[in-house]
Amino acid sequence: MLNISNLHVKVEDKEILKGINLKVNAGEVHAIMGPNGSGKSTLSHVLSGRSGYEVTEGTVDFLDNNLLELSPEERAHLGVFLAFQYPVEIPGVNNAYMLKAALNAIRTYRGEEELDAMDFMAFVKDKVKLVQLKEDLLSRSVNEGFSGGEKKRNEIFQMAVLEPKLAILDETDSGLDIDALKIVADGVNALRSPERSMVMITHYQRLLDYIEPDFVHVLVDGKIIKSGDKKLALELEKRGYDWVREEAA
Amino acid sequence: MESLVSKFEQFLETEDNVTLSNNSLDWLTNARKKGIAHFAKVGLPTPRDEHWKYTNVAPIKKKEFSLTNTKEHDVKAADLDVFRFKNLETIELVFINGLFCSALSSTVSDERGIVLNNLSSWLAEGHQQDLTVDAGDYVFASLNNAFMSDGAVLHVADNELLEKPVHLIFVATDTEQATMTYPRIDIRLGKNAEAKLIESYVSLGEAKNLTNVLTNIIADENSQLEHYRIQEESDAAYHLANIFIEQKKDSRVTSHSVSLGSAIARVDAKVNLSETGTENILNGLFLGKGRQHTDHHLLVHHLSPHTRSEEYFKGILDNASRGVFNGKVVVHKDAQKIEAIQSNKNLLLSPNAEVDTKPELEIYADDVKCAHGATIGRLSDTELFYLRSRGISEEKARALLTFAFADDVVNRMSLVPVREYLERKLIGQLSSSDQIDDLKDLI
Ligand SMILES: Nc1ncnc2c1ncn2[C@@H]1O[C@H](COP(=O)(O)OP(=O)(O)O)[C@@H](O)[C@H]1O
Ligand SMILES: [Mg+2]
Repeated sequence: MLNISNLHVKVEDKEILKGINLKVNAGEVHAIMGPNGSGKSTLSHVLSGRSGYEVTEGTVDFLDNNLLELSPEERAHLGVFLAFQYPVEIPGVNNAYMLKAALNAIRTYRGEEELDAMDFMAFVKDKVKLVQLKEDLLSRSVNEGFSGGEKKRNEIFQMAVLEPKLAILDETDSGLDIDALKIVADGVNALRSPERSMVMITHYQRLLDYIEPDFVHVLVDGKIIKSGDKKLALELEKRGYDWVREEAA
Repeated sequence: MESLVSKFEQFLETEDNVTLSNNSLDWLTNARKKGIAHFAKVGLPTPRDEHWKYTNVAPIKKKEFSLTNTKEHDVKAADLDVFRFKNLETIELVFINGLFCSALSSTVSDERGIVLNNLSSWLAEGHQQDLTVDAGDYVFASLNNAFMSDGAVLHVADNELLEKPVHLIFVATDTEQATMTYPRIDIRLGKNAEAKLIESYVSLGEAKNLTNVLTNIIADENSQLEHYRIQEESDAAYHLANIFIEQKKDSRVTSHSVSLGSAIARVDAKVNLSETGTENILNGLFLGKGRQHTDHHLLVHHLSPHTRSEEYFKGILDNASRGVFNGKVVVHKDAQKIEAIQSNKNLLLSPNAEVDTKPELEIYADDVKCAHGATIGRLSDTELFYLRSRGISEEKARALLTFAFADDVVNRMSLVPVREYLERKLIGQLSSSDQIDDLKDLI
């Protein structure tokens, strides 16, 4: 599904990603762990098409498309979804309206009929329950005045509605208390399917207790320096990142 | 425009609808003479004038506009439907190229003491009331005094409430010779009176007219007025407006100014909060595209303690358009415990668009609460990326964010049908046609 090969990325002339290789097959859940500032969010932004990043080397193939030459909306149409580490507040833009416009854009791309307001509300009804999002948040401005936990739940809710093929979850666990974490994890687990891949970015192993990854990668200083299964996450939890660094050196 | 002084003598001699057929009224003749004398002395403003630094009226100066209008037109009631508010019953007065159109209008004169009429009919009824307005330094107000033509009179007696909003529609058509009109609107609310009035300035076709309107508002003790002006004249038109507001004890006046049309539009609002307990709110939204130029100059005088004012303006400038905002608040000596809020936020949609904004404060009292801010920005990259990452096209994401920026001002209006009318207008202006249908769900 996703094949990242030797990806080098610069931000403002500073090299942040220094040769990332990652292959994600359909249905797999990959966790990417790493200390703050190692380039995890940069990777998620580059994959979803945010401007301001210069790819100096490497390729990203997504379902036989050269992902890097597509606009953010084209990537979304193909099935890429990013759950933001810091969901953006957009005053004056209605949450439900935004999501309906997004869903219809994606449906149109897929050759499906657009949903009108009533069908849309019916469609999202169950998805709201999935992450126990308060319904009145739907009629508010996008993320405006939402609590930290509500913002993260709203991201997973959007993912449930848009049904992406590849979901990139950037620190969806950060800032959540244990109850909220369970709700979000249950939501994500419900969305796991053989056709859907996920890349979960986190620096706590805690999330992985609830969402079990198939693979764990360690990203340090712009490079994946070790990969393994979920046991690697436990080891990182116990021993920190230094031993992996030393091992790689 | 340069020949205005020479036109004046003839204007004063003529007895017709344009001249209000009534040169025998002393106050009117005096107002006209004083007006033209001021204009003869100072002429049209130039960018050397501090208040006209950013707005050059040279294009107006060079053009010739005709004062004489024929009553003939082919405007039908249905032609105006697009300018009406759905689900809002209003009392409508229609003026076509400056002349009152009785066939398309209704008036009010009831035993409760509510008078709504066009100015020339009201004068013809023999009213002697002096409607003189002191133009001060406002030269276009002086010109309106000099050439004052038909317009509207809304007088509400003490303790009365006019339930239905008044809708004044000033229509300009694409006449062979460009016309200039000088409508006068006189609004007086008695003690505890209430009214709502909407002024619409519209064009049918590419009208190249000049409108120079003066709205004079006197709000007596504890009265309440909600006033709107929606200016959507053709891009070839020129629009000049003065709004003078005088507020007595505990009165509350809210005035919304929406500026969408005209090549050059300039609105001057002057507010006197003369007595204690008064509140004045000026809201505004200006949209510029092409080479349009839109200028709002506000001047609010806090003359008494315990008064409150708010200026809340937003501008959206596209292409090579230019916006000007100048909001000045003067807190006079002894006007203690006042509150004044000024805000002007601007959104530039193109690298060639420009805005000059200046909230000004002059304070001669010491116990005051004032806040002011002005911003000039572009659409947020972060917000755009968030929307696009969900699959929304860049074009639509831009339209959405721009609409949201503008809608904030629209939402400050109390008449929901007017809001909906404006939202439809905004959507029409902000997005290309294939986006419109979908964006309509917004409202
Ligand atoms: N827009 C930017 N401008 C300059 N430096 C940036 C920018 N974005 C990220 N960086 C730098 O890139 C590095 C990686 O950041 P990031 O990808 O956010 O890390 P992580 O998500 O792993 O904490 C950091 O050193 C950060 O300071
Ligand atoms: Mg990060």
